[in-house]
This record gives sequence, structure tokens and C-alpha cells, in this order.
Amino acid sequence: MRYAKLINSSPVYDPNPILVNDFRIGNPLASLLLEQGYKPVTYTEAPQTEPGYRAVETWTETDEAIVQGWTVEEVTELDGEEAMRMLFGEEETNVE
Amino acid sequence: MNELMRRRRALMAAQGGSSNVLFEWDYTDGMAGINSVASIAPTMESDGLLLKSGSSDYSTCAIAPSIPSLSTSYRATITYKNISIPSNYGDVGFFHYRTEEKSASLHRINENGTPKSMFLTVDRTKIYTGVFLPDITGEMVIEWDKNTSTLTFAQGQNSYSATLSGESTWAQQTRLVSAQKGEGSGNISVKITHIKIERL
Repeated sequence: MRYAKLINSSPVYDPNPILVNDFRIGNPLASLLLEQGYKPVTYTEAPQTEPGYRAVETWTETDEAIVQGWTVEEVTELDGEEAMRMLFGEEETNVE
Repeated sequence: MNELMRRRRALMAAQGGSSNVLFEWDYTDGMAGINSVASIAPTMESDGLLLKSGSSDYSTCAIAPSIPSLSTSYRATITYKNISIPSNYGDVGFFHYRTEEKSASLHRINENGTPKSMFLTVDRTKIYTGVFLPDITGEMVIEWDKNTSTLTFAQGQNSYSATLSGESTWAQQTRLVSAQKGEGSGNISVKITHIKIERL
């Protein structure tokens, strides 16, 4: 069982060792992680997707857990110029 | 002392006596070097030294063999078995350390029938639960690093360390292992078979 906090919509997993009140604790018990605000992570199966689509994970927090979810997005194909812009930025691709 | 230990010590002596062992005790040695430091004295049995609380609430059996001063870095390894905590709020504790500002010790307790671990810190005002749970039978390793004032408890892959500040009141709190009864019925007990303290 993994434990995590949801920060900026992503799970931040429990550090090991964890620092609590100046005590460094290796392999802490689940009760300590819960007390420190970590919640158990619930993983889910990624959905099957049609060609041209992909599953993208999402994360939500409930009272008891950090839950993995999925959305399906269409895969957009990049043309060469757009790919260069994403990789190297505007300036690099505009050099003549 | 058993034959294996005799041979090991003889071997170390033959190698020049460069041992860092400050204290080593085995239950086959009898009570030599073991100090009883609480209201109930331990008893020697055929398979180990039994620390068993009395029947009244908070009665305690504890030992403190020759522990070095805090000006020495050392490792204490305690081999024990058969922790028994039948009642609520009893505990077996390892290594009680206290300064004016903080204290640290690792306990296995039984709270409402649920085994838990506990350590104490900051003037004993905060009782913290949730560190690793000492095994019923096992080997507890406790290290004191005088350079960083760090105390570390470890068992297998589990550990916790505390950096302790403040002036030591060690003399008031010298216990290596204790068995203390809480509020409830039954006696708390643990059996010690080996203690080794080495200079680091």
C-alpha cells in the first residue's frame, strides 16, 4: 500500500524515512502516515482506447484516499514545425 | 557464558584484544553485571532473564547494565523474546533517554487490545504513537552518536532517530529494558537473552 498527499493534482508519495517533530522514522507505520496527512493511494485500471486515443491519468482526493482516475483524449498529430516549436521554442524555429 | 562466546572472546584476545566491546552479557552468565533499577527485580530462568511487572498498576521491572556515559558513542544490541502484554496500557520499553528538553524511548504497548508502538518526546508532554512496532521476539539495536547527539533505534529495516538537545539527566533515567504494567489485568513481561554494548 502506497501513501501520498495530493499536491497540484498529483500524488506526492510518503518519504522514507519521514521526519516528524525532529524524529527521523524509517518504514513508518500506516497510522503515523495517516496522522501526517498522507492517505492510501487507490490505483485503477487504465481504460482500453481506440486507435487515435489515449488514456490520461487524473487524481482526486476523497476523505479516505487518493484515487487514480482516467480520461480519454484524442491523440493529435503534430506537424514537423509544431513539434520543433514544442521542443525548442519559438526563437529556435524562427531562425532563417 | 556459552561455549561459542568463550571461543569468540578467546579469539579476540589472541588477536590483540582490540575489541570495542564495552559490555557483553549472556543469560548463561547469570546476573553478573545486571542491575535491577525498579520496584520489581528480574528473575533468571533456564532460557533467559525474565522481566515481569508486578500485579499493581504501574509496577515496573527494569534493568540497566553498565551503560557508558553519553560522552561515548556506542551501540547496544539487545536480544529478547516473548514480549507478553495481556492487559491494556502495559508496555515493554527499550532505552529510556532523557534530557531537560526531550526524552526518547521506544515501547511496545497494548492499547485497548491493539498493539502499538510509542515514543516519548519534549518534556514527556507528547506521547507519540506510530513508529515501527517492536517485534514480540527480536534484536533491538540502539545507537548513540555523541557527535550529533542522535539516538537511533533499529530493528530489521525499521528505524527511528532522534536528535536530542538539552542537558542530560541521564542519571535519573537509566533503563535499558523495562516491563511496566498499566491499568488493567495481567503482568507485562519480556525475556532477555543477550546484551552487547560496543564503542563506535
